[in-house]
Order: sequence, then structure tokens, then C-alpha cells
Amino acid sequence: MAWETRGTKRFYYKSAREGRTVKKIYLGRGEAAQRAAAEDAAARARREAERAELRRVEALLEAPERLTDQLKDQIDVLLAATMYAGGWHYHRGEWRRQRGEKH
Amino acid sequence: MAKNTDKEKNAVVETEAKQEEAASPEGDKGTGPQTHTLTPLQATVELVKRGRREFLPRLREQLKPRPDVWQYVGDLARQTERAWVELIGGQDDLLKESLVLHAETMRHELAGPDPQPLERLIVERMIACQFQLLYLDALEAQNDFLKGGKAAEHLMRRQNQAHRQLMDAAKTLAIVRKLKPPSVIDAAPQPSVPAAEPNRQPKGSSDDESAAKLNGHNGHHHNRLNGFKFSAVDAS
Repeated sequence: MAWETRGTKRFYYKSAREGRTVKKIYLGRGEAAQRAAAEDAAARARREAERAELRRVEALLEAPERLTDQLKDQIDVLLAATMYAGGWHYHRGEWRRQRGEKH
Repeated sequence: MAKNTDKEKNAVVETEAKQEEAASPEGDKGTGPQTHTLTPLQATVELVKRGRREFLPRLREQLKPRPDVWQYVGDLARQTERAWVELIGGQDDLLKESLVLHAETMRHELAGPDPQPLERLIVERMIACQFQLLYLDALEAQNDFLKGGKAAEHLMRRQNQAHRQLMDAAKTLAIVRKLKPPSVIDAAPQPSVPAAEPNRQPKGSSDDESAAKLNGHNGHHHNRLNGFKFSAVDAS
């Protein structure tokens, strides 16, 4: 998807995927080429705007998610400490009573 | 080679645990800024997790009533809730107040009449996960570009992750309620670690079997989604 210069003239080529290969489609330099170039530019701008919006949302999410993860980590420590101290152990994804533990 | 690596790791964790305790002039008495972190407890848990059961007495000692620890984590929970309320509510004060009330309702419904401190914290985590999920769902609903393509895939992964975290928290709550670990700390200072409650087992089943047959939710605590609509996606 680009203007290519041949000599003193510019021609527009569009890339299109056919199966595993990418082929260049010649569109010339007339009205069709101008229209295709404008559409491609608009699509690129739209994609870039969406990426920018996504980056902005990620930035907004960063602080609350970091706090949520910290909260999870702290609770996990307290949970594990409580369970181990109470005679449980974590085995294969489950909390099980330690053999021989009497409370 | 693997055993040597485990030994080295155990030595490192043990050293860190000792250093953290040595750094605190009051030991475990709960004074000083470093006692507001869980690092010494974390280090001891790690050692016990690796099979070093000789550290169990230290673990029990560290779990003796420490209201400052629970206060710290409780404050973190409130901070987390506030962060989500600010993000979701944006400039809409009415929405923010509604979210705070919603959190309070969830807290009351999920925690029940007399929750243990650990249960209260897990409920706080569930509230945070719930808000996270609500925000992501609202994002998708209000933005066309998030309904298709790579951005949508990325968002879906985030939503699935948030949903998994919410389910994990709910499962943890059910486990804590069912297993009722005997040394659950009471936030109020007590002279000694509370005596263990007898583990209630159905007749004919072992502890391991009952643990393995956990069904999860107790049943009477339901997470009711009231279906929030957000007036603005962005928060300045």
C-alpha cells in the first residue's frame, strides 16, 4: 500500500494477501489510485487512533490493577500463613490436613 | 543439582527472614514501620511451603494477634476500592456514590453476619475484581473499536482474566469457610493464639477426601450484579 515512483511519475500499489503470499496490485495513478490511497490512509489513521485509545485505557487501568494485584498477594500470604499454621498443607492444588497434626 | 538449588534457595529465604526480623528492633511486637509489611511473614511462609516444618513455631508466633497487619491490608483494600470507584465514576459523583453503596451491599451480602478477618479481606478482593470486570465490560459496550479485531481480542483476554480472578477469590472464600483453619487470627489483641476448632467431617470421610470434595460456594452468599451503566468511559 504505497506510492512508488517510476521515472518522474508516481503509481499506487496495494498489497493483498492470497493464501501464504502477498501480492502487489497495480492501481495506476488515476482516480481509483487516489481513492484507494485515501482509503488506506484513513484506515491507517483509524488503526493508529484505536491503538492510542487502547494505550490510554491501559494507562488508566494500570494503577487500580496494580493495587488489586498487591491486595491479592497480601491476602495470599495471610491465607497461606493461616492455613500452614493451622496444620494444613497445599498439595496438588488443594489444601489438605497435614498427617499427624492435632489441634 | 536440583537438590543443591533447593538448598540454596532455602538458605536465601531463611537468611532474608532472619534479616527482616533482625531489622525490627521490637521483633514481632508490632512496632516500627517495617512491621506494616508482610515480608517476614512471607519469608517464613515460603520456608514452610518448601517443607521446612521446623519454622512452623515461628510462623505461629508471627501470626499472633497483629492488628496492625490486618489494618494495613484492610487499608490497601479500601485504597483499591477507591481507585476503581474513581476510574469507573470519573467526574460523575452520583455514580461514584452509587458504586460505594454497591460495594457496601456486596460486602454485607458476601461477608455475612460475623466474618473472620481473613474472610473480610477475601470479600474485599472479590469487590475489587468485580469492579475491574464491570469496568472492562463497560469499556466494550461503549467503544465500537473494541468489538472486533486485535483490540477486542486483547480486551477479551483481560475480561477473562478478571473473571478468573473473581472466581478464584470466591473459591478461596468458600475454602476458608469450609475448612475453618483453626489459627485464624482475631483482629482484637489476645494473649495467645486461639485454640483450634475441631474440623467437622462427614462420617466415613478423611480430611483429605473432604478437602478434595469441596463444592466451593456455601450457597447462601450470592454475588448479585445490579448491572451498572457507566456515563463515561474515561476518567480525568
